[in-house]
Amino acid sequence: MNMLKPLAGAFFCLALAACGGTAGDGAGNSAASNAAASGDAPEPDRRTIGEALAESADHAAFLRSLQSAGLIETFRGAGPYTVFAPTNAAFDALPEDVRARLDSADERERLIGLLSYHVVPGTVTVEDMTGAITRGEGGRAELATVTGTSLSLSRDGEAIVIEDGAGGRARVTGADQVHSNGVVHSIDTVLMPAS
Amino acid sequence: MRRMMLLIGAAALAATIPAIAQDQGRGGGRGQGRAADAQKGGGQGQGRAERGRGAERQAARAEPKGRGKSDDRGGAQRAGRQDERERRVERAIGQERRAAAEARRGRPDRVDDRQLARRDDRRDWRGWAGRSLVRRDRLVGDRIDFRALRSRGLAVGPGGCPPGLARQNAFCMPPGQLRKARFIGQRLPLFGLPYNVPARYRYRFGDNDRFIYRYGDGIVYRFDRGSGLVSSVIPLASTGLFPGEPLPLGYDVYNVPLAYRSYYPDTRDYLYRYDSGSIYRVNPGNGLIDGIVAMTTGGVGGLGGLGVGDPLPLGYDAYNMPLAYRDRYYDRNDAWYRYADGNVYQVDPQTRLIESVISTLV
Repeated sequence: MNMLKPLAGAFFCLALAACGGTAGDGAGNSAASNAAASGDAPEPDRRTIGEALAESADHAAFLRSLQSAGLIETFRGAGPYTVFAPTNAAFDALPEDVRARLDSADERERLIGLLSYHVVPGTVTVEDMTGAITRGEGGRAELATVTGTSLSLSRDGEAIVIEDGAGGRARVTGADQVHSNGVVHSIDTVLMPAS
Repeated sequence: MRRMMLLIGAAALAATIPAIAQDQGRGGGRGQGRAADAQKGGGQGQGRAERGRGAERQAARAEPKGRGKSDDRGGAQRAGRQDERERRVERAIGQERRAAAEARRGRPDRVDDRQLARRDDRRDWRGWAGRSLVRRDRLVGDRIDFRALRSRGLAVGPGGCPPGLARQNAFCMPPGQLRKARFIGQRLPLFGLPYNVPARYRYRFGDNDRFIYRYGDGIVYRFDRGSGLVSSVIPLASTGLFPGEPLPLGYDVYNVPLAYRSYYPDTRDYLYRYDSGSIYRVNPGNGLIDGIVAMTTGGVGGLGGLGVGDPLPLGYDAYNMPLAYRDRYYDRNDAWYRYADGNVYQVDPQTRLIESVISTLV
């Protein structure tokens, strides 16, 4: 992992450049709020979500968890999935005991449940989420994850805020990272299902 | 003292109905130990778990003195009919066994430590003994001759455990599975209760004329209709499959949902099994699950399990169409489109009912 960091850095810049665009299917441009590198037409990102996470320095902890849970193959496969990917800072912010529990082999079942709680079927962009929030009652919308339980969406100014089953809140900080088998949104807090 | 126990046991054998040996005193169900069933022959085609090592130990542990009829099953008539049948069969087998036991007394045979129970379901054995059926000529009485199997390259491993499983206990099972599998070959009161499998699993566990399924505490138990004994244990709570662990009992049959079969067929290199909404990949060489390859919504009450006329479930407020289909399927005043598990669902925005389902998977 360490020797990948410089490489990851290089790819990260490349990823940013590609992120302003689409997956190349002719759909309209996404309401991307992350930094686009320049005014050039961005290249469509042909990497899968799994490949992109592997090359993303800011998601190293998330990637490690996915590998530990045996979920990494899913994000190299067909999909499409929408993934809310907590950043390294989000994992660091977890209480020590929670993090230790997640790492142990006995808790793999719990880890799979936790990580699945960050995955939504289909491709949901920020624009789609905003549309649902606007339509929804009281400015909220529900987003079903692949575990069957839902996340609650709302807006805080320009940003999308996600409320999880345990009452925690996460903010989408890097939206609409589109890849060949779905889209990734970076979030600043690890989502916790109601236990 | 021991000889006396042996004699009593032998007498009990003749009088008792077929039983299943207790495991080390912890048996979950209420089985009966068959005292003189010394070297625990093998399954009887009824999924009986037989353990233990010597005639003496068996006798000491057994609960002999003809516990006439099993009193823990609902339905006295059913019990009566089964008792009859079992008694007859047992008497025939018992004689052969007694002879074999006499011959072998004093020579504890490591082969018998194995759980020979589930022979009624040949598919289970195929998992352990390679893909070929165990032929009749390989059987010694009703037991499976592991020596013969091993010499043919089947059932390999130290002590005869299946490949990939070190001999951790007498059953060659990882402790997690053992906890659940100890009911195999036992009787459970569940057998007499009405069908109670939770709704979302009914498509997998429906009663048929060979097996019935009953649910308890997160686990589905499969009973052999004829004998009333548990023949398979399938855990449901969360999932029964974990990456890194061996494929458990009850998952030997390819069960990937139809829509995904062209993507994930069983091959020589990988097997695929579905459980609780996820598709798992299995390494057939060592029998271990090596990861999750897909997550669907159908198994967990999501959109993927629904059809025309069903309401759109909670959590599908947002448009989630894959980019490739957005030109074709976009939300309008008179129709919404949502995506799940390879299908496009057209929904009436007013009633929120699904109006049509279009498959996108080839």
